[in-house]
Amino acid sequence: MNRETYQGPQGGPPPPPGPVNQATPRASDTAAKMLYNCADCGAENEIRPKEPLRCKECGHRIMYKQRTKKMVQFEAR
Amino acid sequence: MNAPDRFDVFYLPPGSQKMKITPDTKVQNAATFEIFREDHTMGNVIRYKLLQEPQVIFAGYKVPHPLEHNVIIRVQTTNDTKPEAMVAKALNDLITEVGYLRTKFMEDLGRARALVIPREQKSMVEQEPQMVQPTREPVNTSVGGTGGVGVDMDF
Amino acid sequence: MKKSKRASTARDHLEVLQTRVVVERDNVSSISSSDFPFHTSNRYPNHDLAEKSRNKIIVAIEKKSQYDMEFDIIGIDASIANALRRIMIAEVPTMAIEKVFIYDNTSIVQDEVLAHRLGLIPIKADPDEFDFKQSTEHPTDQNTIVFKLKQECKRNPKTSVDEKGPLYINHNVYSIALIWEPKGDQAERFKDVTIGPVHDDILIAQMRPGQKIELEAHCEKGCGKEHAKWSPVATASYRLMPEIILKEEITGDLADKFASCFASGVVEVENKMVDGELKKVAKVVNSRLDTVSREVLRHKEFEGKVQLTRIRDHFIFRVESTGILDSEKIVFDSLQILSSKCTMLLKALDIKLKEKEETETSQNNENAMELDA
Repeated sequence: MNRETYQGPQGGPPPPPGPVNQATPRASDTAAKMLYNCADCGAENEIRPKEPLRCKECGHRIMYKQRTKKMVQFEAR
Repeated sequence: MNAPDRFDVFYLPPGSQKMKITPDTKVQNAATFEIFREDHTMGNVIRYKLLQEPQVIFAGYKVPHPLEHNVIIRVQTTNDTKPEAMVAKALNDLITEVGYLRTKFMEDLGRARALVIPREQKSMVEQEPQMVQPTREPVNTSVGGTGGVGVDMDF
Repeated sequence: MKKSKRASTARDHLEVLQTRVVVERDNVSSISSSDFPFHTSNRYPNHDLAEKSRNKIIVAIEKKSQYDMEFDIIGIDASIANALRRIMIAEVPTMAIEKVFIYDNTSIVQDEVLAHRLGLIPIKADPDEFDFKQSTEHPTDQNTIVFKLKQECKRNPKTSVDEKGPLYINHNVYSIALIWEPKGDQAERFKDVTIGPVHDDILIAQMRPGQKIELEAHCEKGCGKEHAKWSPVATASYRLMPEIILKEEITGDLADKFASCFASGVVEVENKMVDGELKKVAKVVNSRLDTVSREVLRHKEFEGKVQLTRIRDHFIFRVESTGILDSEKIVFDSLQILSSKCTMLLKALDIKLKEKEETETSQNNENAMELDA
């Protein structure tokens, strides 16, 4: 038991019991491109999950999420 | 969150009554008419028409609460007639008066329209330079050319 | 001699109370009509009211333009005038944008604000051609008009940063951007008329380069009672015809001062021969233009010399349409709606009377059966 090499639980929940070679489908596999806008320069960045948050053009670390592509309905009142 | 539907001001669901008549227990020939989903527009007019009948002794209306869209009209008549009959007469008289107003209006409209045409043609020319981005022609639905008041008469 | 003079003034005074609303310096009196049978001032309880009213009513129209109209009605009561005014504002139906489906809005204007502004744009479409849409119904070509709006703001490539000139293209979204999409048989039904906003230059939103608005708007039929956007008039109002009664002649410099107390065109000063002298005399020329500001009553010099009144049954209506319907169409519609409301109430009254009859006959039958038994 070597303390230094101990690594805490990784990933998300443990894989459910079942055939070991089939993993559960995760959002990271099938995701559409998540585009974010940089707070400084407004450039569009694609940020993949588990990727450090950094603007590709100016290096700023604050990102805004883009408006949803879904249609929203309003009453004109 | 607590706001009632706006159409509640005038919409009566099918099946519900429009009017409720309560005869007065203590006074003879008197009744209270409660009309649902109406307001001062009809209440005041019916009250006025009722007051024009010599057989009506008392006629008054009120909107009991502004948040409830109903009118109540109280009518008392002489012994030879009933409140319901007087209300019916008032409504019928109102229909004839409105019809008469309409005919009078229509008669005078022909004369008035004839005077507008020369004025219209001048004002349209003055308006053109003020239009912003006129990529589409000015919407002009008057059948019969630009600026003329050629609207058809049958309403 | 004195008695008859007093009697005549009393009679005039009674006539003033019966037919005029008196405007005094600090209050308005004689407001309510006393024109009904058995009122103390009325001596004719047996006249035929319908006949009398038929002879009295006069209508005189003055159209200022296609969408602005002023007309006079003389001889009706305030309750009918007010009913017409209320109906013109709140119960004549029109078409207005009700549902907004926003696909994309990256502008500064929030979605709900944009939707609200779209609702207030007057839409030129004949409301008689469409049906009301209940909330449970699906949109059809009979009850909905569809508009599409798609605009993106871009930097103007032709001007560089230093040059003067438009920096952006398509940065202002005007109502002309609302494009009608005919559905179903609408293209056929409305091939001769353009359906769209009344004005092309209503500024809906402003954008900067990179911002985009894409939406679809559905227009439905409604009336002003439900939301002010459906009101067909900018406003509809009436006023009573003012009347200025000169009790004494006003001459000299006072006449000029008198004329200046009123709006221009109401009172004119003319030179008249009075007692052999040429004097300036004030004369009321056109009391219709008077705004009844009561300025005259503020000055002591004119105390007792002038009486301001309004004629109680002479209504000067002004109907200013937003451009959706012609003003006279609005008036006709309001007359029609008033009479259909009366018909509806007559029907309701009828139903109630029949119900009452039925309960009475069933009670009579019960009593009869009891007696028999």
